[in-house]
Amino acid sequence: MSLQLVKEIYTNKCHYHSLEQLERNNEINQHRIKELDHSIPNTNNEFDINQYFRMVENKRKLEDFRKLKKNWNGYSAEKIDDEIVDKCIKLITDSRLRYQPYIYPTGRNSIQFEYEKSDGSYLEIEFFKDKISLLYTDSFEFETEIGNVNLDNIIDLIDRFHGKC
Amino acid sequence: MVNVEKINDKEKLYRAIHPIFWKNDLNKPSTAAFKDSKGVSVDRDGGREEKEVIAVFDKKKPNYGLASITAKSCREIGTHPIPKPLDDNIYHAEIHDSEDKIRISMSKLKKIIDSIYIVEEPNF
Repeated sequence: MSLQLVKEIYTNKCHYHSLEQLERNNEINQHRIKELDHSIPNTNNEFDINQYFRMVENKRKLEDFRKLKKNWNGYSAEKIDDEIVDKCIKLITDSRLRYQPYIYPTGRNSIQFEYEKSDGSYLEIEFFKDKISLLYTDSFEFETEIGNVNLDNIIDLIDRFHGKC
Repeated sequence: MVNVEKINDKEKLYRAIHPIFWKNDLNKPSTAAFKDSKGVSVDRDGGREEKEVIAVFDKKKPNYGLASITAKSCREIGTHPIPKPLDDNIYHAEIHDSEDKIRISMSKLKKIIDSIYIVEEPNF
């Protein structure tokens, strides 16, 4: 995918369904194009390009979490600490992270990453201000829950989940 | 009359699902929808018809989805549903991890999500 095509997607000249909702405001688009000029991966690999787009979308999503106000979930949820958002952005933009997660805020001042495979195996990583917790369930529903994981090990654990280690 | 001392096994417990938690590809919410440090707030049916419960949620939380789980399922998972009536909501209840612990563990939350019934999907 050429940089020109990426620019067209971001200016809505080209229809691209996963970005349709993401990109509405032209001013914001122009700002993002500037960012893209510096960060678009130099690759023709479709998987890497898809992951790149998911990273851009995840980054936007995480920035939006900063704007969530108290009670944002209708059940008195706390505001998400900027420190947690920063930690998550740092992780998803790390060039070693090959698999972008699905990302959700929680009502307990944390952010969680999720990976789910078609065989039912599941990886959930929850980022709190002071710790990172993990749940892994394999396709036979055997579970492992770890109360506190080192941030430096997260990418390796995600790779292992995807069978890349 | 709703029993404010105990939740019957057959009772359904309802939780509104903010659209941010919805997984379109899997047609279910993330476990994040049930994460709360002060116990998971739910509304019990308390003998009401489901359509009555839906009408209350539609008014209180428009555009949210709605999920239900029976008190029996919660107990089988190992969580602890308890009545917590409020001045303005006699049907309010909470699901705790156990009798002694409020915050529900990740593995129990995963089982809750695998056991819920989707009453209504959120409106986007």
